[in-house]
Amino acid sequence: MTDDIFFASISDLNARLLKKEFSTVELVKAFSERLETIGPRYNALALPLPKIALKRAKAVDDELKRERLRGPLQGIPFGAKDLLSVAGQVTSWGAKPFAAQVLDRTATVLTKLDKTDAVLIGKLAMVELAGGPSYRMANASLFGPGLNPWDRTRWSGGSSSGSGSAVAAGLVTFALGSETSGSILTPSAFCNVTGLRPTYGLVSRYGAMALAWTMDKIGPMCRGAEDCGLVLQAIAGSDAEDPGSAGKSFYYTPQYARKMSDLKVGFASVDLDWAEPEMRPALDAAMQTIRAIGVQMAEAKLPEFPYGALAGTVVSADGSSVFESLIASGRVNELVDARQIEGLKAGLEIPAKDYLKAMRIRSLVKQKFHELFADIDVIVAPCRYGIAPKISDPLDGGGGRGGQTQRPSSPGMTGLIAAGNLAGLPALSLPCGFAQNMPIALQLVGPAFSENTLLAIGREFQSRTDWHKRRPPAAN
Amino acid sequence: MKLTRRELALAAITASAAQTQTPPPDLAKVVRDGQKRNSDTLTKFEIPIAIEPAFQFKA
Repeated sequence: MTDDIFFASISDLNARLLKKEFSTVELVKAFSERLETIGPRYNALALPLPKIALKRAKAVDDELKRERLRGPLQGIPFGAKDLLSVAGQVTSWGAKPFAAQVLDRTATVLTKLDKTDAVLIGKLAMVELAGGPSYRMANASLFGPGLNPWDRTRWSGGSSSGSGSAVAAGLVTFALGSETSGSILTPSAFCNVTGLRPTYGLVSRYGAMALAWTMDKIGPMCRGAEDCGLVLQAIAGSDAEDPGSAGKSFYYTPQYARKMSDLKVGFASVDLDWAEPEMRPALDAAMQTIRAIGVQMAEAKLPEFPYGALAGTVVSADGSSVFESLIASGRVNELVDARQIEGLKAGLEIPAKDYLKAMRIRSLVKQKFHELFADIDVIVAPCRYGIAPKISDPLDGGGGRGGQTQRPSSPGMTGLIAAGNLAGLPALSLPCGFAQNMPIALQLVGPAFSENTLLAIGREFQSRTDWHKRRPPAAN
Repeated sequence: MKLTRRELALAAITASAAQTQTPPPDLAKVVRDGQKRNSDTLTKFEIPIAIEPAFQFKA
């Protein structure tokens, strides 16, 4: 086996397994060793699972010998954010008070992936308690700050920090992350990974730590849009164990994708002014590539709502309720991030009137997005407006929005991550270039259950660019 | 170098403890002020009386 396996796509690896270039055991052993050796370099590893993985790999090889084929994920090594439980194994949620927690259930997404014969090789680090309700420093994790494979002095993003850096550094072929308000998109953008936030309810949350019941989503972080489609097909679907389940399945059907010329893509030209100046040439070029794939482009305006206040209120109130006993016990003080500790305590004091008002406004947000998507099919915008910050920089320091002295008059799509999460909409983060040698990305957002459209645009974009194939220098 | 699970956990906890910040004295106030700003923003936002919260309850 050569090192190129560590950066191969799901389909490529699966084809090579079927051609018997190597066995699942050999593949899983190689990835497991790499994850255990290199993972700590990025603070990406929460819990290696080599014994379970090798046992599973042997069983997959037996299946392959008998020609029992389970599809493209068969034999593929992957990692899961440590917010997802595996029965009998430690699930720390990235937080010291839960460092020894062993749960008796396995997350539905992991059970579903197991049925495809994908092989879980380890749990990946995350921001403590998925960062709810807010955190101030990159080191807000039991595992230390997520270090970016493109520059270890910079953050890998949060809260799915280990998932982002592990995929970027070729430690797993794909990873599962979760997003309440930006936790898949941000590490994907910062680490040069293609990340998909599914529509709320499409993927079961059973066995995942709750942060905000009406906003939590689990999704794939991969090497490309194609891989995201394959993983989403495996993990999506109705689940009686999840009260938020939409009762829908997802079939990845690139062959039935709409013609690009039929799609209308909305954008805000003011977005470039919000981005850090060094990012603008690459973002501009990426927008030209989107235009070149043949879609119709139209100026669009994000519905005007106080997205920050809405997301802040819902995530704070929900998160503080989820962790009420942790707060009451005083063990909340064992968390690393002081702002998070204070935020969890204060969240218990949010009045019912504010929470209900936020939830009522969310109904309007949903309605307005429905109206917007009657005119356009997809929104495209910068995923983040700044590159990954230095790990020593406070995350609330105002970075990432250009640092310009005069702010543009219109907000453009700067509220899109919070807005999309409040409305439960799917999003795809697409690597689209570099600034200061750090990756940057576009995000595509569509109406509920439009994942196939987002993936079709993503695939087309990635057939014309190679940003998603670039490897961090130290990971070669 | 391969680390055992015990070594990994110990390293993580040690690193984490070493990085624990001393909270700025006014951090609780900063958080509560932010919450108050959110509250004021939501209070000022007018919505039609018929709008229900975005909950779903299935009986």
